[in-house]
Amino acid sequence: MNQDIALPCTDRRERFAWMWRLGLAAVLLLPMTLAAAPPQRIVSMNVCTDQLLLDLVSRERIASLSYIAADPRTSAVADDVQGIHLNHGTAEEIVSLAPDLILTGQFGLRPTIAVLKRLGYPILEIPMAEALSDIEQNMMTLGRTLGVEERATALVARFARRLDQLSYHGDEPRSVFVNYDANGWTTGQTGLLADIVHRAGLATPGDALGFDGARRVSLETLLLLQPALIDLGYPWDDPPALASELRRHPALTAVMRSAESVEIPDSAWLCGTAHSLDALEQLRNARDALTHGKRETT
Amino acid sequence: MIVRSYAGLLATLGCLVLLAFIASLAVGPSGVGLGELGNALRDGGGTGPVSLILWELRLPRALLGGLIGASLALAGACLQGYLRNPLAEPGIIGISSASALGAVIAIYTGLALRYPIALPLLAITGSVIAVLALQTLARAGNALTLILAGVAISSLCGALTSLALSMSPNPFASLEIVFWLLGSITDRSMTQVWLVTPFVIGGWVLLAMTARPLDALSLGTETAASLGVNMSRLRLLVTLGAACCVGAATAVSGVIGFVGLVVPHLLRPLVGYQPSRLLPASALGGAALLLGADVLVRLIATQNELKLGVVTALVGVPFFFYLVFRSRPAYGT
Repeated sequence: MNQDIALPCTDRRERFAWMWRLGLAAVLLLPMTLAAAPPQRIVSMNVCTDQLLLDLVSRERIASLSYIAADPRTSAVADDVQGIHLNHGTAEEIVSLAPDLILTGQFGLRPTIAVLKRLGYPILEIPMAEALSDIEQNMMTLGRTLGVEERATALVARFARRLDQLSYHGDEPRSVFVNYDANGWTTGQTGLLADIVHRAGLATPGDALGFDGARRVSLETLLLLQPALIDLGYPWDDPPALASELRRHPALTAVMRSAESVEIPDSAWLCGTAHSLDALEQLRNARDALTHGKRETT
Repeated sequence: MIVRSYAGLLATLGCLVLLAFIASLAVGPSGVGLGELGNALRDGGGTGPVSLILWELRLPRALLGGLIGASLALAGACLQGYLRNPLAEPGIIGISSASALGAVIAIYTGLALRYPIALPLLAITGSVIAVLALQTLARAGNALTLILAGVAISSLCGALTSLALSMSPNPFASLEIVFWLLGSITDRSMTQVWLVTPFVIGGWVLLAMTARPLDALSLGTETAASLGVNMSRLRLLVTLGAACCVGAATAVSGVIGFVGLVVPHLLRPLVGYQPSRLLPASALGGAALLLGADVLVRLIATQNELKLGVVTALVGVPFFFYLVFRSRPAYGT
């Protein structure tokens, strides 16, 4: 009978195993079906996927980008998004755009993504880059899904060449660079920012103090750390908040007097994209100026 | 017996303040201890990191801890005496919240950036309005009316503070709601100490002038009047005094509750229930308590430093319950 052959399993566990295998097959087949007909109405809901997408495909194929892409404080492509529809990441908005592919990041907007998944929209989640090498991988994944593998390969090759040129290969002792963001948040031993700092031939506060992941570092600790290079990040002082008032603390002013200052725009730090190398370039130049200055004084 | 040991009590409280002050200088996230600080001090002013930690970070924090604690407890003792209500406390009756609202308006509109003096002035304006509103409401009813009116003012100002901060286009403003509602003196600087000290001291002077009239008032309004107490002058002194020191204190620390409740109540039996003696003792006790609490928030290991109001509330709320429970029959009538 039909009912007997509909589910070729006898117990619950086996039934789950079947469902799991079917799900896996669907996931594996998704990129193939996408490759067969490259998406033409792509919606990106994350400021990082916005930037990766703009580098890979022509504007006609982009149905919408996240509104954050137009904010120059956080996006390196703010000038390039004029004329493209911007979304605020609500499910209703996305559905009305009738996308054939939705790009998101790994974090944030989880309830919205769950709804869109249930409604059957094809969704590609691009993992957060934890190192510069992850950026190449993300470019390739996206390039393959969008049917522009050749362009992705060329971009990755250019990225790798520039990365190699900018990386510091010497073995001189590394000075400490501190990106002292609002409320004293700074970088640990690993992660994309730490990788950029290491490639520039510098050390992070995490290397000096022995901690992993982003963390708050008190002004006291910063004073004892005596960094050689410091970046206070975007001031966020118009209008002001207590976080921006801290920048005027006399103790911080004293730290700034004994350190060189560098201003890397947040838009270059925030996402793992080709623009991450702009941050690396600025840091590498700052490091070279630092060692050059040291040699001159000795 | 109590009269003879009053000087002893003040001396003991003074020693406690001194100890708490030294502890406040000795404790910090960098782990620099008293020994290193002492060395930095011996080497003279200096611009080394250790002397910067001492002069620019720990000293302003300890000074503010003392000033704010003393202000809150002194204002609490005066308000309890003047309103003749055991629950009158700057935090509970909304004076602190109103000051915080004033400070929030000054800072987040950018006004305090252009004119730093606007910060304490707007905070004090907030607290004056709250005290006047309370006095108007309290005149009409009993002890319960005052507390209810205070709770309403406190909630309203807390809500308006959150609203103002949520409306700010600065993404960090909404994260700072917790600072204004729970209070902290982390990473304050000498700039803030200089900014608020004149107002705090001015408030103390005004409140000190209420000592004798409060003694007379403890015998009842009519007796006080017959003893020659000028009630409208007393009212002006308490209003301006409490508003000045609580307003200026809250402008740099956010709302710190329960100090003004716990300290006068603990000390009242020790000074023979005499308001004029309670005032100096409360000021010292408040300074010691807040300095102690501020040492504690640095010692309790949490990812983000604990807010001061959390510690003072943990100590103060059980005490508040006890007072409510004890005075319940009075409210029932």
